Amino acid sequence: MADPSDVDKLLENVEQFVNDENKIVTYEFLSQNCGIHVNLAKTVLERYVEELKKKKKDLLYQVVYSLAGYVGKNIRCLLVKDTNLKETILKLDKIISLHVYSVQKGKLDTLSLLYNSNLTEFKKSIQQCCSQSGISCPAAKLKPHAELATNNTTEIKKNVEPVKPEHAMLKKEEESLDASSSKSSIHSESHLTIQDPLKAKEKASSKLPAKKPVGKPAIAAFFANQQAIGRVNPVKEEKKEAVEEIKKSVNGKRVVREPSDDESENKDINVDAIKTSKRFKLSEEAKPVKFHETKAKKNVRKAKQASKTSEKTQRKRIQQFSDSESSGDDEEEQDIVLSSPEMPAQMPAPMSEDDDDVLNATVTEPSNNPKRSRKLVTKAYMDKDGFVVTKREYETCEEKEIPEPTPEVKEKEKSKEIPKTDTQASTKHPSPPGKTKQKSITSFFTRK
Amino acid sequence: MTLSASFSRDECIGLLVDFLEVSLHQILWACKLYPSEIFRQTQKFNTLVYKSIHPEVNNYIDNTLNTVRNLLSNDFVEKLVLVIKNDKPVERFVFSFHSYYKTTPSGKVTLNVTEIRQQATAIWLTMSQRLGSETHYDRENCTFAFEIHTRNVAYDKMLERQSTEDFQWIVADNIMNPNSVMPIRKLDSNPFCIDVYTEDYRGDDS
Repeated sequence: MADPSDVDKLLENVEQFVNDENKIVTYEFLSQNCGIHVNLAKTVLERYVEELKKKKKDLLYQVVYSLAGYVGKNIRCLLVKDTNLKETILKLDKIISLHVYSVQKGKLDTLSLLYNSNLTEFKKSIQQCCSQSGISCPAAKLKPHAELATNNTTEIKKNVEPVKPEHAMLKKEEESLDASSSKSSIHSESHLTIQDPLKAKEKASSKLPAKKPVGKPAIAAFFANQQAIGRVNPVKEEKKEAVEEIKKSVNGKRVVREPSDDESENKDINVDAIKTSKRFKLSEEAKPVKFHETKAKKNVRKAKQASKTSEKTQRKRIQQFSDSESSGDDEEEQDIVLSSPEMPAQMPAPMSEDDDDVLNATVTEPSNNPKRSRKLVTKAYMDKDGFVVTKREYETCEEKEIPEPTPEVKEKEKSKEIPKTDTQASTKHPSPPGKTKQKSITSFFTRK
Repeated sequence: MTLSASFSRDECIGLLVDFLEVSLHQILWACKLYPSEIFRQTQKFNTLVYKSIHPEVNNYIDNTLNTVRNLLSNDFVEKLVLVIKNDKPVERFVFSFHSYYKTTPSGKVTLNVTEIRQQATAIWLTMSQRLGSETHYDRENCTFAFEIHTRNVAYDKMLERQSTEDFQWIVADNIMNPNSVMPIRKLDSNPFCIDVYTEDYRGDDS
């Protein structure tokens, strides 16, 4: 049994949650937040509701009860608002349990928010759940998120191995241009991003000895190492990609490699190097850094030219298909706003609820709709490559209405309808063929 | 514990379109443009959401999302807008895309599925809470339509296909400046970055 003082403290907590923080306080939420047993949480909530009734403030709050009982042989578990509690209790044959589920300030139109709020609160308290487990290890400590982000970058630096041949380094560089983070300060001795080779030599010669004692490995060496390792162990490459992607997720933005301190003077990255195609949209403008061509980079440039020519060929194809006379990049980049011309019907007829709301993962469309039916239609259209493609699709099309039956037939139907209602519970009489009334579109929405 | 998996570009787009579909249905339910009887409870990402079962409404939304899916595959969609109109635009719900899609050499990207689910759930919760309150305009006489902000090239390609497809898009009129812009939430998880906000065009008289 809990002490009265503890209960009073818990009541204060509940009041704080409900009034000050405007939260939906369920017994599960209270149990997890305060670290108490679920039964105690329920009793605390009941005490709180009683106090609200004494103060006559219960109308400002909404209490949801959890009710479980028998209906015949079936057990039903319900969440019931305080206004509907008495009616619901009368519907049950026998009550198994009744307790307060939640208390909140204000009225809820639907109880779906109740479900969602409970879920989010539960996820927040996962760490608390771990504290309840019997297994404990003093060495295992939860690191904050910021530490995790910094640890990832330091681990990458430590894993770098000595320099490999230039060709391999430069090729890997081109591939991982966009992937490298801007702040990973791994400098390359042979990294050619400076226009003037003389200056590069001077800087390299002047700065190389300064770097050596620091012990920071070259960026090219890092990628060369990865390439070499990848040939032997492809698993390590995947880990590296995972690490890079973790960094991306931490930053949350598209990563563009910014020039390091050595490369900050007179550097312009060729925009085409980053903009491989129009398919990828950049969030930040790339800082201009030019690459100085060397023999080793000819292969890379050839690849770029090939991509450019392919883009040019793509543009040519687009120009051939389009009828517009104007051409060029301005039109391609011009924004346009498209509006859907068809608007759905404003107010479809209301439908009756046959059963209680059931969680349906799939939605079924009505099958009987005599006014509009689906027909298999073959359609032909031009593909991207210029081939004519035929497709078979279902289309909705209106059908001619069937003429209404004669009055004699109507009378017969009426007479048949009467016995139908009497025997509805036991058997179902199939309607005679060809004498049924045509159903209207509102038959989708059954009348009450 | 986080769940992450590698997805191809088409799978990422499919995930995004699913999120948009649920969001659009949630907006329609929360705005009460249609009677609540046509909406059924369902689950997405372990969250209670509402989805319409009216065939015309569903076809309309599906056609729109198919267009968005085709345009996203070429990264030509900048915004998808749901416009609530009463002869004039009253309110616009904007989904603004910033694509940072970058493939690994294998052609796949790793998604933090847990983070995406949590953020999507937060967006839907915020929508239902904020939009469910009473509004100043008469929602019963309102209709809705969609707008897609894209590029001329994409529209030219769509025109080639429009002659054979039923759902046709037209160039929209000039968009007025809104009276207020209210951000809802942001879905920011690599490779997605989607801003969700509303633009209010109601005048001072309403």
